[in-house]
This record gives sequence, structure tokens and C-alpha cells, in this order.
Amino acid sequence: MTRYLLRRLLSSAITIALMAVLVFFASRVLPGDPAVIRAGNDATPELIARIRAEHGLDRPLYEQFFHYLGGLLHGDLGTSVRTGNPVSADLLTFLPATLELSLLAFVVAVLVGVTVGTVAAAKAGRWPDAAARGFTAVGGSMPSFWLALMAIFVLVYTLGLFPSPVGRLPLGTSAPPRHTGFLTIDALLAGDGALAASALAQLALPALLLGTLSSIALARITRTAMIDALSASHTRAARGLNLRRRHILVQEGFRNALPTILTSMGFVAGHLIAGNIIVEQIFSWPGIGRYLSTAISQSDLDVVQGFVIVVGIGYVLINLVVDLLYVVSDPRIDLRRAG
Amino acid sequence: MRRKHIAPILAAALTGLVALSGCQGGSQGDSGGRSHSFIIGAGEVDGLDPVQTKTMTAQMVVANLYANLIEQKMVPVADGYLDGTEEYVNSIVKSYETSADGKVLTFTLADGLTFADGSPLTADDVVYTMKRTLSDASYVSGSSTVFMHISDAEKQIVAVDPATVRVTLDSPAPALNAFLALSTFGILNAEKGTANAGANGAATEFFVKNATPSGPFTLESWNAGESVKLAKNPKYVHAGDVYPEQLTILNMADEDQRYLALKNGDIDVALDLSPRLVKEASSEPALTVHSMPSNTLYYLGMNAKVAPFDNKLVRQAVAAAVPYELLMQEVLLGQASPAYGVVPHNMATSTAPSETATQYQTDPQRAKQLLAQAGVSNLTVDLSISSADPISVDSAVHIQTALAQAGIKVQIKQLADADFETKSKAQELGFFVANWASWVQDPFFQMRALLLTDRATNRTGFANAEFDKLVLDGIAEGDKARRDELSAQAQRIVVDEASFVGLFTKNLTVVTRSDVDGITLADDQLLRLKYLSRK
Repeated sequence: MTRYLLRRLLSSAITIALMAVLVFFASRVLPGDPAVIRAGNDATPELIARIRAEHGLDRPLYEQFFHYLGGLLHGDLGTSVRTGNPVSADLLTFLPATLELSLLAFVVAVLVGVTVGTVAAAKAGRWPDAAARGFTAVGGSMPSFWLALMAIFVLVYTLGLFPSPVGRLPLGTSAPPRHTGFLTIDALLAGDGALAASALAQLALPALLLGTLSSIALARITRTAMIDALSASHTRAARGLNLRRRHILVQEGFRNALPTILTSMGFVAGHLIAGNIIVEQIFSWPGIGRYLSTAISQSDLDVVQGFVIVVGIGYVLINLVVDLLYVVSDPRIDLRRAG
Repeated sequence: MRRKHIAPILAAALTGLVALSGCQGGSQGDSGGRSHSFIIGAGEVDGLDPVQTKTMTAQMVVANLYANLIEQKMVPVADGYLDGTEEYVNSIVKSYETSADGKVLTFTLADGLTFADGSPLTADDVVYTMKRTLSDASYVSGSSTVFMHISDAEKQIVAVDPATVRVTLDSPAPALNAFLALSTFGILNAEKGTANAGANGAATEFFVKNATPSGPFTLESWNAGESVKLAKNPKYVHAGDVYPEQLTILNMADEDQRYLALKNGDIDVALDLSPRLVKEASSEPALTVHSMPSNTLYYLGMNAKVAPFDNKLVRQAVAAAVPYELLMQEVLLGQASPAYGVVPHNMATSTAPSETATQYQTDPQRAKQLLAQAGVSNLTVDLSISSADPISVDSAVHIQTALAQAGIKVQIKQLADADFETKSKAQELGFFVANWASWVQDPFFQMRALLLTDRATNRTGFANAEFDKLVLDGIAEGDKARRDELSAQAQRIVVDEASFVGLFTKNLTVVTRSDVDGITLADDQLLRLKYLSRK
């Protein structure tokens, strides 16, 4: 197990290194000159040159690359041309909002996706299956921005089921002292249960929406994997032995489908940590999705690079966890061969 | 047995989340309970340094945190808002004297001035601020230096005593007051700035993240990317005239969300709504639309260095084919005024014969004749626009259709905003739609920015030595009559050259709840929030 883990860590490190190289050169393809954008309308050639020099943009590409790599090794993701802040500091400011939303959305996605997929497979060809397929077809075909706006219009402004989407806390509420950046947790740490409840309430609708949207792929894959497992020979044998339906569904179906479902959950988690620009825009959620969106529009190269690296590391770690969960969940996996 | 209950428990958890939200939520429906506090749906605040911030929302915040020596006088107009006049009134000064030759200005500060933290506000703070705004640490130093006629700030701005500042100009500066009233000249705390000088010696890092308010409001909190909260500054010299006790400025990136929140009474003021939503708001009894004529000028740029626009007849043909009225009605839904030349009709010295006159008349037949005279046929051109600006995108479609009627095939090229900015400022685009809003209502400021040879914001590649001389002479000229004549001559050259074709001036639109009063139209288009009140 230790050897397997080391190998996986090594391959993850190589993946991250390759990604760092790729993202540097890919971000250079972004149109626009960040120095011109930063200099603004009163720019002079001297001012633009000074900004270029301050951000190392006047150096040859290879020098910029080595400077960037050197910075990365020291945990320096560069400086935002737009905000003037270290990218790592900006990401630390905005990342907790995205992570808090993503974690709750992930829980929703797993609950909804796995439940819908499992029920559909268990009742394949009958009305619950048709309903599940309808859910995934309709949900998958609707643009997320439209769905988000309709959700706000109906669930907030018409039915009053959720608070107004005005950010992470209701209007007129002050944020708790920052420890984790997760407002629900920070509020609890501050001993303010009501504030934690308010923060959770603000989270609810965007998390439900994002989670439900993310659950669609998970539901489809769960259904397919479960149907495959339930129609396999070992399941037919179990039926022949008159084992209980529950046993067949869980032991023969779900356990055998689990590696596929875990893979899909990994994709969903990876997708969620990258932030969701549309949901963050519409719900006024100050996460990294919006931060990236602005950075791209302003050709803020260090931010784009830093974002991709941080999110990429997140992806790699999630994949690592998923791989380890395979081993735990499926005794058939031979670590010697898997390594 | 335990497993049996997992599904119901999970379902209950989800239901609980919704129920919890319901308990916490509930739409307010009106602004009840917020008589002296206002919530504004706007954009992002990218920093608090008056000479570094780039977003309009940040600039608005800064304009309300810091007081200036003088400020633009606001007067109520029939349309229900406060309009900025050409008159400037004392803000933190009790007197402002100009020498007979117009070159020496003496400002005497009001008695007992302090910053919001109680520390005294003296002449040293004024000198520090002015020098900083005119230094390399400022992104507005270039134009400020030129128009204020201060070539050596270190020598020309001095504190005579703790309450007196003397500024010596190179020559009389007609636009000086307009500059002094800008947010970029809001008075900062010199002691704090000096103590936190930082890498560039100008405390940029400090002032980007911290405020030392001298104006009507103090900074209560700033959650990056989310909101800024301002509270009334009891130490402000005119605190008695400030109605709002608290202001919350929310970063609401989505305009539909801003509109829904306003309609529901969650917020009091929504900024930067599209013409579609403004029109919708105008039929809502609970909302008031302020559609204020501004100087945000949309124009069609034709680069005379790029074929086929190197042919003046082609440029004139395009100008004759543009559907000016249609753009105002279909794209802006009536929330616009005609444009005439480079100086909008509501700016001093505009040569527009009337408020309804356009620079060119829409006449496809004349466009065809001009093309025939130019010896051009089957013309195909690329029209570049920034994809980030929906008004440019919509305008381009109408221009494409209209030019087709004149025999010109237009291919629309949508560029990412950064790409558009970079390429247009490098004068690489032959044909494009862009916009411009001067902070200072001065015709020479406008013409210098848009058309002086090789200015950063001269996107058309316009280069005319006679025009340049007129503009530079106008900037240096102190005599009003002579200035007006120079301006008129320069404008005529622009019209004749047809490189720069004004499409329309877009109104500044602010939508509020109906009980909100005190919306302002300052020259820089930034709301002065101290005037906000409830009807």
C-alpha cells in the first residue's frame, strides 16, 4: 500500500509539473497586453514600460518562464496586474467561498445523483426510471444561467423559500472573525449559531442548484453502472439463490458499480472546486470563478496561471483520493498490478 | 435497520435546508426599516486608492470617502435628479482666492477639520494629496498635470501654514476647478501615507487596501468581491447635510439579479442596468428610472492609415450610411441622445446646432454616390467590437444591415475585451465601435484624449497637425472666447475628416425604489451618495 501510495504521489507530482509548464505557455496565448490594460486611459509609453518591467513582462519568454518556475517552487504564484496583490493572497480570499459552496453542492450532487441513478436502475423500464431519465434529459438541456435566474425568481421572489441571493450573508449582517474562511464554521467558532444558520441559508439555494446540475451526469453514470452490475452473471446467480432484493441491490449492484460511481464523483468534485462562474455571478457569490472571469477579461496572466495550478492540484488530489477509495471499496483490485 | 433510514434522513436533511432557508429568508418587498440606510447594487470594488482604482464602483466609493477642496454644485432639475453645474463650491475650504493674473491660487481650509479618525486635517495633507495625484504613483498624473498647468508639483504646491495652501500655476488653467473636484483629488491622510510609504514611496499598497476618510462617509467594512459598507462620518465638515447613516454597496455582477433584487425591495438603487431592463423598470410603479443625458459617447472609428479607410470618400460614405436614429431607438431603446462630432452637445463649446442634430444624416443613396466617387465597389470590411459591451455588439448588427443597403459588406469581429483594448489602443483596428466618457467636461480634454496624434486613447489613428495645434493651444489658452474659437475650429476638422463618427451619447441610467431621492449626475458620472434621501 505504501509503495502504491508513493507511486501515485510521484505520478501526481509529475502531472502537476507538466501542468505548470503547459499553463505558462498556454496563458501567453491569451489576447491582450496586461500592461496596456493596467495603465488605463492616461497611459504613456513610459508608464506601460514601467508596468511591464514591474511584472517582468519585458523579459524574454524563457526568462519569464524560469522566473515563474522559481516562484512556484517557493509558493509564489505571482502578482495580479489588476489588484496588485499576490495571487496566492487573492486566491486565499476567494477560495473559501467557492469551497464552502462546492462542498455543500457536492453533498447534494451525490445524494441526488446516486439516489436517482440507483432508483432508476432498480426500477429499470418502469415509471421511476422514466422519471429519472426525464430529470436528466430536462436538467441537462437547460442552460445553467437560465435555470439559476428562474430558481431565484420562483423560489426566492415568488415563493419566498430562500433568502435573497445577495452574497454569503444576509444584508445588514457582519461577517464573523475569519479563521477558516468558511462562514458557517467561523460563525460557529465565534459562538454565533444564528449567524451560522444565516450563512447556511444563504448557501442553500446556490448549493442546491449547483448540486442538482452536477448530479445529472452522476445520475446517468450511476444508472448505467448499476444496470450493468444488476444484469451481470453474479447478480443473476444471486437472484437464483433467492437472496433478498435489498442484498442484491446493495451487494451485487451498488458495490460492483461503486468504482465507476467513485470516478464520476471525482469528476463532479473536480468540476465544483474550479468554481462556477455563472452561479457565482448570478448569486453574487465572491468565489474564485468570478475572480478568474475578471482576470481573463483583463488578461491578468499570473492570476490565470495561479488559478489553473491551484485548481489542478485540487483535481490531482481528488483523483488520488478516488484511486485510494477504489482500493478500499473493491477488494478485487490488486495493488501490485495497479501500481 | 440503521441503513433502512438513510434515505429518509437524507431527504429530511435536504428538506431541512430548504426550511432553514425559508425561515431565514422571506423577501422584504419594500425598504421598510431602512429609512437612513441604503443598499446599492453595483459592481466590483478593486481597491480604495483614489489614483489607482479602475472600476466605476470603486471610484464611486472613493468619491464618497474623501472630501475635496471644492466640489461641483448640484441643482435639482425637473426630471427629478440633481444635476452637476459648471459652478464649484467650497467643500473643505472656507475661502479660495485667485490672483489677478490667474496664476496663484490660495486655499484656506475650514476651521477644525479632521479626518474620520479624529486626526487633524491640515494643509500638509492637501499638499501631500495633490503632489501624489500628480506623481508617477497616479494613473491620472499625465492629464492632470497638463490641464492644471502644474509642471513641477514639488515646487508649485506649498503649505503656507497649517490652514493655507498656495498653488502657483504655469499659466491660468480653465479646467482646474473641474480637476480639483474629481475623486482623484480627495484629501488623504499624509501622516498615514508617509508612515506606510511602501515600495514606491507613495503608499500605494496602503491606500489600495485602507481608507483614511475625510469625506461624508467612513469605511465600515470591505469584503473583497462581495460588498463595501460605508457609515456616515460625523467628523465630516458638512456632516449635518448628509442624510444616509449607512450605505451598503453590493457587488452584484449579474444585471438581471440586480434588477430582481431592486424590484423586490432588497436593494434601493441599481446601477448599470441594460436598456432592456431600464425600459422594463419604467413600467414598474415601485421603481423610478433616472435616465440622465451624459457624455458617454459611442463612436465609429475609421483608421485613415488602413485601406479602404485611407480614402476620405469611403469614410464619408460609411458615415452617411449609419442608421443613427435607429441605433438610439432599437439599441438604446430611447435612452440616448444624438451625437455631434467629437464634443457632445451637452459639453461646452460643442458646435452642434441643436440637441437633436446628428453629425451626419442617414442617407444610403448619398453613401452609394460617395462610394462611386471613390471608385470603390463590392467593398467588404471587418467591424471590430468588444464582446464585453452588449451595446457595441447590438449596434454592430444594425450598422452591418444599414451598410449592406449602401453596398458595403460588413463582417463583425467580436474581440475579447482585453484584446480589443490592446489592439484599438495600438491603432491596429481599421473599423470599430468604441465608447468614451470624459471625467472632465472640457472640450480640449475630450479632443486630446480621443484624437490627439498618438495619445493612448486615440484609437482611430487620427493624425492632423492642424488639429493637434488647435487642441494644444486650447489647453494652454486662458481666455474663454479664444478657447471657444479654437475648440470650434478643431471640431470642424474632425467632422470634415470623418474618421471619428459619433453614433450617440448614452444616457446615464440609475434605477431606484420610488421612495429614494437624491440621485446625482456629476461630471464624472459617479454618484455623490451624501445627497441620497427618502421621499
